[in-house]
Amino acid sequence: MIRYALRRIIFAVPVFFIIITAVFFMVRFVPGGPFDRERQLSPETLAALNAYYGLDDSLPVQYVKFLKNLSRGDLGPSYKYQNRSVTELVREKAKVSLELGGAALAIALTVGLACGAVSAMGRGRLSGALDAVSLAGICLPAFVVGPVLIWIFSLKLGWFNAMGWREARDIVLPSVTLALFYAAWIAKLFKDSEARELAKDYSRTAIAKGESPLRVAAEASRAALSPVVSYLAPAAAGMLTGSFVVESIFNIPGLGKFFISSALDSDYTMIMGCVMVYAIFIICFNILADIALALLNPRVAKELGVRK
Amino acid sequence: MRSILAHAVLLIVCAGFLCSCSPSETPAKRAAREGVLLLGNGAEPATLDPALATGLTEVRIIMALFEGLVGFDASTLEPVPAAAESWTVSADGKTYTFKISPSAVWSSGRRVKARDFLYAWRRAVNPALGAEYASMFLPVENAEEILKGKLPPESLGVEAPADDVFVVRLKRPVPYFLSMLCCTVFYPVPEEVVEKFGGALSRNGKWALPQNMVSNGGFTLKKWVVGDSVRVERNPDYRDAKNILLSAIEFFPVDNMNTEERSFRAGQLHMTNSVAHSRIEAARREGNKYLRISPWLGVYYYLINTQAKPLDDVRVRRALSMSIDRRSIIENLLKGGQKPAFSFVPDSCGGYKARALVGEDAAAARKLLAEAGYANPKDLGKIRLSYNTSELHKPIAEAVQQMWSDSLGIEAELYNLSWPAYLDDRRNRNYMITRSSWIGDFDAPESFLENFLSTSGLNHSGFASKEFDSLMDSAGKAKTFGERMEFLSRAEEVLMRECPVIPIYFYTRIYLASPMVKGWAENILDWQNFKGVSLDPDAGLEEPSLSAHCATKKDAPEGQK
Repeated sequence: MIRYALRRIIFAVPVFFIIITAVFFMVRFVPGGPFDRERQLSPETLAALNAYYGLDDSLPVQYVKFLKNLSRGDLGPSYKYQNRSVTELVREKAKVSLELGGAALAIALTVGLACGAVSAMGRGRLSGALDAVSLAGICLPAFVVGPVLIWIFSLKLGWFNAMGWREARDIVLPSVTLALFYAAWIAKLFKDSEARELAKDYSRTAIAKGESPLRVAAEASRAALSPVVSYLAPAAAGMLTGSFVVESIFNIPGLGKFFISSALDSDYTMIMGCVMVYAIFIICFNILADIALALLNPRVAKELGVRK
Repeated sequence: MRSILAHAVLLIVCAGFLCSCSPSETPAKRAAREGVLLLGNGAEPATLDPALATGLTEVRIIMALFEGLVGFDASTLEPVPAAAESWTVSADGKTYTFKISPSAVWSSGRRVKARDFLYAWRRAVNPALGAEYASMFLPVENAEEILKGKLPPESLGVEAPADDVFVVRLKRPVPYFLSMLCCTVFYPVPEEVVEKFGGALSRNGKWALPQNMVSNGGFTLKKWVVGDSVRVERNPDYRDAKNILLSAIEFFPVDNMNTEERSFRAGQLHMTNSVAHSRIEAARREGNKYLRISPWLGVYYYLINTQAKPLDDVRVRRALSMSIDRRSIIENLLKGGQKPAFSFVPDSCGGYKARALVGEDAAAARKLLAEAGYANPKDLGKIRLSYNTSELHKPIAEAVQQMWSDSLGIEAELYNLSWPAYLDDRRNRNYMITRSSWIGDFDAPESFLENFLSTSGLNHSGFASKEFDSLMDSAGKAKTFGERMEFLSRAEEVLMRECPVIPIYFYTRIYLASPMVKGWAENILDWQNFKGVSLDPDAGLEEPSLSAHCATKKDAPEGQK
């Protein structure tokens, strides 16, 4: 297993470099530049800015400089937020996004798995009701859920702030808004998978032999978790690296907002910083998901070539 | 039966809970007691360095932190003494001598000296810094050559013969020069701090961060958390501290207008920066309880490529301009109290009264088209109208498209472009008609008209008129205010006659303000020095969140001009 994990990590390194290289060149080929303004800059000012940020060098030279700085952990200055370095901004903002994403992930997993399990084991109205709630969770976008929660719990009840990230309670509404969609998907995936496992011969035989249904369900959930784990890799990366919509609705100073604004502003260095964080999370969570799948399901372990 | 009863009880409890709960003291009320103004401020400020700031987001904070030689009356925008207690202008109008006030001090305790301005101006005009507003220095002697790299910044026409005397030499008289000095690019910076934290030519220096910044305005920078807020606190050493009634201001960067309004109604803000277009009507239904609308020095217009056929014919351009029903656009689409623009320069800009007005007359427009040889409008072909992606640009373009079709029978094609593509097309004059807008930098008609000088880098229309250039030059040399306005009116007459632009409407500032805020003066540039602004925590008898749903029409807006 360790050898498998190491092999995956080694393979991840070139993948990471391919991603950042592709993004580095792609953003520079997009029309417009970081200093495009409605009030056009004079050629002299533009030349000064390009020289200051090294944008007057050829692209390969810029790329080499970027890699050199990256090796020192320096992502350069943000073109937009002039008194801050990208490293500083990403570190500061990623912390907020991690807190929000972590809380949302915990809620999504707890609620999603619990609802999925109850729905799979339950019969009739309860199962139907939970299915309907899951479907609603999948269909309701965050930009509807967030304002509704604010209307009830902030404007009407005054329990929470409508925006900001200052007090401990500020995490509640955004994380619930962010978690709802993922919780609904997890519930649906887990319910379908668990129901399939419970319908299999080994489960039915165990129950026929008098085994407790809860114990059987617990056993079956080991295999039933596989689709949830596969789904969790990109979902967790998405949640932890910040959601633009949720951060915008609650005005949270997280990375998600910067991801979008840096692309709109052609803030090359900031784009690279955001992409790198996202890429690292995606790669890491995919590796973790594969390892978890191998641990959960011996057949998957065999397919992946994992030796225990 | 039992189940129905249980559900009913649950519903009653929930409903009672929702209706009976009244929020405890809101953050806005608590802040008002402490004298802290909570202000929605649009986007995240890019910098708080006066030389590098460009947007209103930054300018609003910098105007709280710093002051230049000349300040402004927050209601009239008239220049008033600030860091300079007085000034004299030479007979030829080209030399300004400022006397620095002995009570002007930096927050470090050091006196503000003439050399602070010398350092700040030379730094801002240095092309190596890449200050986007460095072109504001162009009227100053040698600035043009310095910006082009032909002369060193030290040759700028400024000097500090004594600690309290600062002399500025202009290359030509500029009647509105004092108004220009209110712009942040002319503000002083503390040399010793700038040099210590990055140096004069560093765009990424750390001097403009809370732990290092030294300022000379009514407030000092205490906190700046990117994406959260900027907090400034009253500067007790400020020369005019008696007029600073607030203990602190928190600027919140809230770029989502709906989020901002919800926060206002939840009692987290005293004022918003703006109101979503779709929410203006709802705010009006409250009887303008919180809604504030004031004129803003900006014009929304369509720019015409005067070199592209068939728009190279002035008659076609004028016909297009004359067949737009501006009032209909404002009443049916914008609904924000905007004024129809029949001229390019907004009325009342620096005492200016627009004389050359576009006449809306569809019959005359059709006649003009016929004279141009387009009796059959189909001969014109399709007119391409481009705009960048935005909530309002598209419906306005669609309305104009319909008006041209109904009045003239002209077919317009709409092109929605991304922001970079839009800028690129405009710069390369790769358009026929494109959406545009201009917000004045200072309160003078020149801030609008100079964009159409044949030498202006901002003139993307292809319009070049010797008559216009000459009239603008004469306005600069005018001896009296009346004479200057006369030349400017004549210049605008040329502009409107040649019609490289189709003015649509003049902007308004639309925002929400709590009754707790007192003494907030509105002006057409939306500049604030925060003098005389105070908070009355008991003025907001109703919490915004509650009154949003039970407003009556009896409340008149306070302080609305």
